[in-house]
Amino acid sequence: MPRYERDPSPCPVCFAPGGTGGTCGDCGWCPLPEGTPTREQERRLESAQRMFDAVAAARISPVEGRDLPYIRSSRPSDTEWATARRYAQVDTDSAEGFRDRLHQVLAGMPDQGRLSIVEAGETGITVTVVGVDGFGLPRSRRRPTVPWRDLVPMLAAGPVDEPAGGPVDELRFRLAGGFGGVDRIRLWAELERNLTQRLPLPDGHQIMPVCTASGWPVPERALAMLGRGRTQDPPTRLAGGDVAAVVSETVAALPLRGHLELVVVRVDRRTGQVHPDGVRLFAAGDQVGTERSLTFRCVHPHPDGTVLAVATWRDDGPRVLSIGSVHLPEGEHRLRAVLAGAGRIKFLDPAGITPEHRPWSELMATLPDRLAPQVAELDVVCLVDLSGDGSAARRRLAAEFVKLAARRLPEPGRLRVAVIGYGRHDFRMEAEDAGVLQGKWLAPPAAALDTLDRLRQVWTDRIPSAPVEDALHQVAKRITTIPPERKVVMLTLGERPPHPPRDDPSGMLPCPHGHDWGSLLRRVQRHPGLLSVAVLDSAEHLTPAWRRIGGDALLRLDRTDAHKLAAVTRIVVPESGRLAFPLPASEG
Amino acid sequence: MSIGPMNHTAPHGGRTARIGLWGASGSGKTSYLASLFVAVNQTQGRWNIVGVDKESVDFLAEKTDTLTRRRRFPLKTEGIQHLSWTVMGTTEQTVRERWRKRTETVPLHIQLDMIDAPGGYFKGAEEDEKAGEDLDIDIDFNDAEDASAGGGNTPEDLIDQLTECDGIIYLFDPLRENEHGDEFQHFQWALQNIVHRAAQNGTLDGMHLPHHLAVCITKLDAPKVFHTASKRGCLTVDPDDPYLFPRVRDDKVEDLFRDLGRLSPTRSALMVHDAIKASFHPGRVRYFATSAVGFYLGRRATRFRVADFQNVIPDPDERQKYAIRGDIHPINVLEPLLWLGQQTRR
Ligand SMILES: Nc1nc2c(ncn2[C@@H]2O[C@H](COP(=O)(O)OP(=O)(O)OP(=O)(O)O)[C@@H](O)[C@H]2O)c(=O)[nH]1
Ligand SMILES: [Mg+2]
Repeated sequence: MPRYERDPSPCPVCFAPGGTGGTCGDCGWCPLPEGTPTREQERRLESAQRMFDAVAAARISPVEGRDLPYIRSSRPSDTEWATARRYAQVDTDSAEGFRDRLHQVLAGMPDQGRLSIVEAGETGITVTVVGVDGFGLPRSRRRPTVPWRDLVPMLAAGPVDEPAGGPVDELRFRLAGGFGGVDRIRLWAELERNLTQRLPLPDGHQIMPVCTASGWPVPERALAMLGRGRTQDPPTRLAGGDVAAVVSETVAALPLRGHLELVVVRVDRRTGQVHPDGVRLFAAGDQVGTERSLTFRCVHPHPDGTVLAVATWRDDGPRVLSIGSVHLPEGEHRLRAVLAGAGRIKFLDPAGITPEHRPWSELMATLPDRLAPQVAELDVVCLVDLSGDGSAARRRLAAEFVKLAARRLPEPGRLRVAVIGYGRHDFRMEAEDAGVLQGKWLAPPAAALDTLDRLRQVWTDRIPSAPVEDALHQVAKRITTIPPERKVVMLTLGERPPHPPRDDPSGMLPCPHGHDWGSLLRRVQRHPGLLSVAVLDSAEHLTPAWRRIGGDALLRLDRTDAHKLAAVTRIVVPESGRLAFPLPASEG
Repeated sequence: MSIGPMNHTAPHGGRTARIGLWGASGSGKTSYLASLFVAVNQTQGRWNIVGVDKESVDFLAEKTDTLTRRRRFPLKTEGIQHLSWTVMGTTEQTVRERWRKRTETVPLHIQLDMIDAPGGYFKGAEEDEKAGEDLDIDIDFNDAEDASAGGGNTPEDLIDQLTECDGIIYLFDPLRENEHGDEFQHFQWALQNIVHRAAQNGTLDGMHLPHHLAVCITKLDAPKVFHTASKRGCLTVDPDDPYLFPRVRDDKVEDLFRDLGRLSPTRSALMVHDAIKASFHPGRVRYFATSAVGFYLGRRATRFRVADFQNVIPDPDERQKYAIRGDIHPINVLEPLLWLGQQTRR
């Protein structure tokens, strides 16, 4: 449809549609009365057009605008330019005012709420969505700017009479109101169509219109279109300014909506079971910049360091906001942290916290099921087979173990060691009562090492059993003198199993003293918290008896060192029993 | 056991019982003889034993010392050894008078001529085999230089001598059988040769050999044997025994023989049992469960303790060997000899 048919007579100055020859409702152009000389008519029209364009140019730039080549007829005069600048002026809001309004809106937003800040500026329209996530934490996301070229392509592709200013300047000029020659009906229709297509605003979002190209008709019109039916608020007009920066600063400065907690592990006093928990570090309503501190404990610290993680807790578990790790010794430590905003935390103390990059699931997987209780006082009862090829190695391992335990428990009285070396039963009748044991009952570690050193090797025979039961008899007799709160490790280093107490189908020679290893072991194991560990030369004599004597751990001599023994007896906490997380200070 | 009445003719005028020992190597033949002196002494003076010649006197003294003081077992036997002893004792005899019957105690002397040979001879091997060695060994019948006073000294000679015996003590070692399962091989070679020789000599009694045979299960004190006897309910206690040592009931010994035979992988002892039935007169065979060393008795123990009875232990000083833990208490060592002596004097 030809343009003149639909729109026979737009205003010759502002090209607003539809006057019937009377005064233009848009720009106030009043056609001169009939009979006015043509020259005079042309002069007046040019002057009105120049003045109209000058206002748009002044919106772009109050200085350089005057020289824009798109101003129709000629360069505006000083008075004209001054008038145009005055017309172009718009009242703007202060950045502070905008910040306050934004803060107010965000603070009042419900959980799960969304706010779309629609910013129309010189280059295009940018939407920034500010939301509160499932954890109650605000976050903002700035979408890419949709340029005017895409929203109003007809302005961008408009006729370029004088290419000196370039198409961008012309587009700006048109956006700012240089509508000379522009079919307004088509323009607004195009804008409307493109806005719905390119800037769909989801339902349920609050809208906050912001105009940074204040007074520019196209951006203002676009905001009005977008806000229609969604908001009553007039757009906030800003004279330039970085909206993005204001938004992120405001979001960051929001007070906490929920508590933030330090992830700790708690230990069930009765069962020793370990489970993750939190202690409050920041409370809801805490303002950015708030500094808080708390005391935590490191117990059996993990070799990879202690993980300090700050999280908010939701039904489905912790949401970790800040995480770092630091190497700390056992004991109490102080954590000091400051709320940096948007759920970000800055650790001030302890020093040396480095960022932690391991995935959360991996960190959680390091937690042992139980926490090995701290060994305060320990008695080690070593039973050592003194015969056979392995006897030297057995004594060496026992000595290494005692030395290691002594390093862990250096204070006098905390560690005591009994050494009971057992030889061979001499079954000959005349030797029936002969003793088969050497050694010394509980003594300080140094004395025990000396005893170990003095044990005499004993001949080897072909009897496939050894007097383990005689050694157990000594232990059973004396173990009752050990206070129940002392941890006891019975470490048996041997090869051949004990003699049966009486003849049995195995045909093994029974203990000539009639000792019953089974019932003696039960008596020994009545001591609370006794650990019974056996180290055998080989698996050759691995009988049920050994399985019971090595009930807590059954090891092979050639594959065992003092560290392994210390780990299985939990004198030194094994790698798997170490804690990557701190304990709360209060727990005992 | 009871010894039946014997007439008390002059001790030296009567016939002597020639008794051969038969058994695989290591079955305990020499140990059996070595324990004889202690076994006789155990009877509390009811019996006594004397050697007829110096060799036999020395044997008893030496071997008794080995078993009781040194607490070791005798060495492997080399060559055939002949031993001659007189076992002297008394027996009750019923005298029939005109008006009444009365019992009187009469002296009883049994002459024993014993043959102890290396076990390997019983399967025709001059050199005793080592355990597990192949059984096909060439026999050099010309090599008879070890011949001793009692005749030649080869497996062939042993067969000759056994054939001429009145009684045979056959020692069955359940431990060896359990380990090697070769009892029948040992038994078979000797038996066939003895039957062959007896046939040649014309001494076969119909289809049977003329010999009396005491079948002795040895090493009753060993846990495997004892446990089997115990499990099968074969054990009993003689209330007159001050130590209450268990014994195998007389009526159960033959069953025990078969039971022990069944334990072995080859069950070859069952074939031995059948062969005995085929070759010996049923009335002339008797089974005994024996032990040269008997059960262990603790130093302070006043009687047998089933909890701790093993009397044989690995030798603390010598590999492969065994030692005796305490005193020996021979079981059924004298009894087979008395039975044979009595039977063969008839
Ligand atoms: N448990 C147990 N073992 C015995 C007994 N008698 C013999 N032995 C064992 O059997 C082994 C062999 O015994 P010997 O008496 O030498 O046997 P042998 O039949 O004379 O052997 P050869 O002379 O080689 O034919 C001894 O070394 C002992 O280990 C016994 O009464 N009880
Ligand atoms: Mg012999």
